[in-house]
Amino acid sequence: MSFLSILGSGLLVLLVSSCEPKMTLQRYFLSAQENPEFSLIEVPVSLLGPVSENLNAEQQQTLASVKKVSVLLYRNPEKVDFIANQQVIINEFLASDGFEPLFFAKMKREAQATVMIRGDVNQIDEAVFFGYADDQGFILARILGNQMNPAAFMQLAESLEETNLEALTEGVLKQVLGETEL
Amino acid sequence: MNKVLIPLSTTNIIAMKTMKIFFGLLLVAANMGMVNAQSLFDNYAEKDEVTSVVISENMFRLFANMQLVVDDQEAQDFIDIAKNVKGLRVLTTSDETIANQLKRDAFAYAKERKFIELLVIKDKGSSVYFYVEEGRGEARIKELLMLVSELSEIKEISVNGRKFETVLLSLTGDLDMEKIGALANKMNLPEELGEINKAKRQ
Repeated sequence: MSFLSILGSGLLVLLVSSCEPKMTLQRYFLSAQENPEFSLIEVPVSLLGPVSENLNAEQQQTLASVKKVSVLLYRNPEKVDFIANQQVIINEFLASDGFEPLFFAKMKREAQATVMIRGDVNQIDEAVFFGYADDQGFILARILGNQMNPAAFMQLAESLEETNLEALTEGVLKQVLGETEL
Repeated sequence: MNKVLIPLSTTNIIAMKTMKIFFGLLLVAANMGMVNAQSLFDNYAEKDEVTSVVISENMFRLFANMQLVVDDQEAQDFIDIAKNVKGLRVLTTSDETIANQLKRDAFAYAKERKFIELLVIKDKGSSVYFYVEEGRGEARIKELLMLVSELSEIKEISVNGRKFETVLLSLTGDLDMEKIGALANKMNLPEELGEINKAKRQ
């Protein structure tokens, strides 16, 4: 009798846990969007259109390998428990979501910085940065693209003249700030 | 020439299963006995009082690729070594109990893996130990273990409120000892790492 009931409850747990969808980076971003305490900044690369006119074919190709940049921010020094809880959740799904760690640093229990990628290191399809400070909040940044090559981006950044770079940041900032003000 | 066909009888199946279990257990036992750097570091990295940094092989490949301007020997050395690094792990703690345990475990690990004690530097109240696992070829190493710890008698006198820290660093790969200094400089690693060059002159 007791054996059967243990077996039964075990099966039930298995059933319930398998019904609940597994948390992923994508799902986390989606659910956070519904929470007003989070701020989300999304930069579609089409924003960079006006700048890309001045670039050569190779540079345009580099720029075009990025599809979207999303930054999720949570900052509330009063909700220390929530922040600590989210750190556990985020680390858990980052570890099980097929990402490969590039860099992991933690300072005691106070802070953490993690960089992970999907794809080859010269052909990155997705990159994630997770930064965490236990008394402040955390930031989760995601770059989606198609075979992004970091070395090509370095070259691009170096070849861009200062004025170009200024125009680019200004353009992006205007768009982003304009959107959030609305 | 008699060909004997062995029927797949139950006894044979049992024998095969026993073999499988036996080899399985052997494998588990072998794994348990072997201490590797990863488990040594992971144990401590989880602790609240410990600061930990892990840099993967791919990150080093990325660093090497992103070095666009190669105009000096150090940059070239950095690329050469970064391409061959399998990983870097650093643990830092100022908790005395953990530091002592960490020291013991690090020495035990170096002993068990039969590392060579390359160099010990005692200077300004701190000790730096270098242990290496030799690789193929001259001046090539597979793993470098560096332990920086302060002498306990000095600890009583806190100098200018400076916090004493114990650092354990492991660098794995196919490493050219002479180029490790370049890595330390370019990546802001503990400066003691550059001291390994002294070992060559001895």
